[in-house]
Amino acid sequence: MNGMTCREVEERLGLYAAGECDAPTAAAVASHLSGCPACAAAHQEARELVGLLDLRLREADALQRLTRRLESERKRRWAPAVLAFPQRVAALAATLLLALGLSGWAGLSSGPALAVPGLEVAATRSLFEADFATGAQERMMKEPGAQERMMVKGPAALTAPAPGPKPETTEFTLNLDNRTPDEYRAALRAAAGTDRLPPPPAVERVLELRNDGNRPLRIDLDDERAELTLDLEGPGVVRVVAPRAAPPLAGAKAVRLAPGDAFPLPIRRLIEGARGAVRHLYWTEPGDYKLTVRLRAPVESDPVLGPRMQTFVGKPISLRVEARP
Amino acid sequence: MPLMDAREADLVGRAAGGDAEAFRLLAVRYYRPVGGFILKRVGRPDVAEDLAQETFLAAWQSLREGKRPEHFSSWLFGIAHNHCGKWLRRKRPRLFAPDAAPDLAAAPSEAALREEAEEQEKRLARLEAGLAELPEETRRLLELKHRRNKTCEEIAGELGKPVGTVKSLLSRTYKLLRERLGLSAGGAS
Repeated sequence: MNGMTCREVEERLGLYAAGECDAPTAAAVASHLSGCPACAAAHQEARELVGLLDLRLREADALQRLTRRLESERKRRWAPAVLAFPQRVAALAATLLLALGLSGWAGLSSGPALAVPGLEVAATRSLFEADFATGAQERMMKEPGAQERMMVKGPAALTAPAPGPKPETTEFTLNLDNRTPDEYRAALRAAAGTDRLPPPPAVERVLELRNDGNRPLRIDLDDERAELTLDLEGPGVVRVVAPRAAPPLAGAKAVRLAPGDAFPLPIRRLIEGARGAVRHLYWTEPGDYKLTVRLRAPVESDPVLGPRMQTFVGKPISLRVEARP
Repeated sequence: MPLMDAREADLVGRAAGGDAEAFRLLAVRYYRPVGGFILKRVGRPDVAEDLAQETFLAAWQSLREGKRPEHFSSWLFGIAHNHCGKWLRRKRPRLFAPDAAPDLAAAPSEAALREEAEEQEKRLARLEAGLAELPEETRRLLELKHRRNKTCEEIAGELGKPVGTVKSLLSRTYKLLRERLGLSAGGAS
């Protein structure tokens, strides 16, 4: 469906803004919007309406969450003041346990298992140990040495033994579809926002979420606010909006972790974002890259307090991208 | 919007004294306009919801620490503006985004914030009126789509209707609401 008129686009703007157009229609609308300022302005208005409806119809849930958070804040402010000293020490210890209660570890999905003849990916076992960073914990981690103290290795039953203190480099082959880097970037720019984007590089990683605390936890990976962010640094990193692509957490369910349990979250390709805001990442030059994975999702450790948005931050992992011989 | 009516002033005073219920009532009163205000700046409803929560928590803490705003709503919208700024200034790599959220302009004056808050409230009131006029079936459709986050295919399955019918009704509803909101070309403002 090419060459839509303004009238045809206008009729589809609502469904397009809500992510409900089929792929060919969405591509045709996106193509028209890129060259029509008037329709692009109308599209912004349609997006605003869809956003307002999201906010309005989730308002009751959001206010309930806010009420729980206010109550939690109130208790946290007042509890230490009325406790005797030994109880205050106990309360502080409990807080630290909660702060350290959830940590993560990430590496290749299975180190030794990848050493199978025919597989292109080298069987190196890199590690990017993830820390559970939230509020006070994030502040703690900024202190020198704090991050090292908070690292927790993954259980041997689920991950390969860590090869050493330094992350190993994993090698990939650059594939630009027989184009130069400049040509490839231009093609990506032209395809931004459409369905014509090439699949982003496959990295086949696993972010392992592990509950090292003493309370059961629930991580709401199926919540619409759950978001995966990939910080990729290197000589030719390009991010492209992919509005019709499946989000990286599509199909994920809420995860319940008993103390000591772990959950491997697969990171198959360089796709980040959340529902309605998906982006593809590409490397477009050979060289050394650094990847850091962040997962932000509601986590509930206490049914009374309800879920709170928490962030996992993975330790950066080195990736080497080489030009095809 | 009056400067700060007696009831609101009373709620602010009680909230400052640690009355969580008083602050909850203020949150109920302002959650919607603050959310709309933030949405306009960041362009993403999921982010707007998070930032609205952070705005109210920051306001609550500030009141507890002794802050006494002369005009609660513009003070609250100022906090929301600052949270938007922090979010928009976060580290962002190169992004080919045809509709990326715009950078935040310099901090507006209190009068400008108040004016924008009033405009936001008027628009939301028009949206509310538009929603109230919708038939029950259409409200149910919007609830499934925007609150339950279901796709048209899932909604069609749940309602026992063809997907095309669901999409058609949704499309007409969006158009109608855009007109009510004064958003579409030629719509009432």
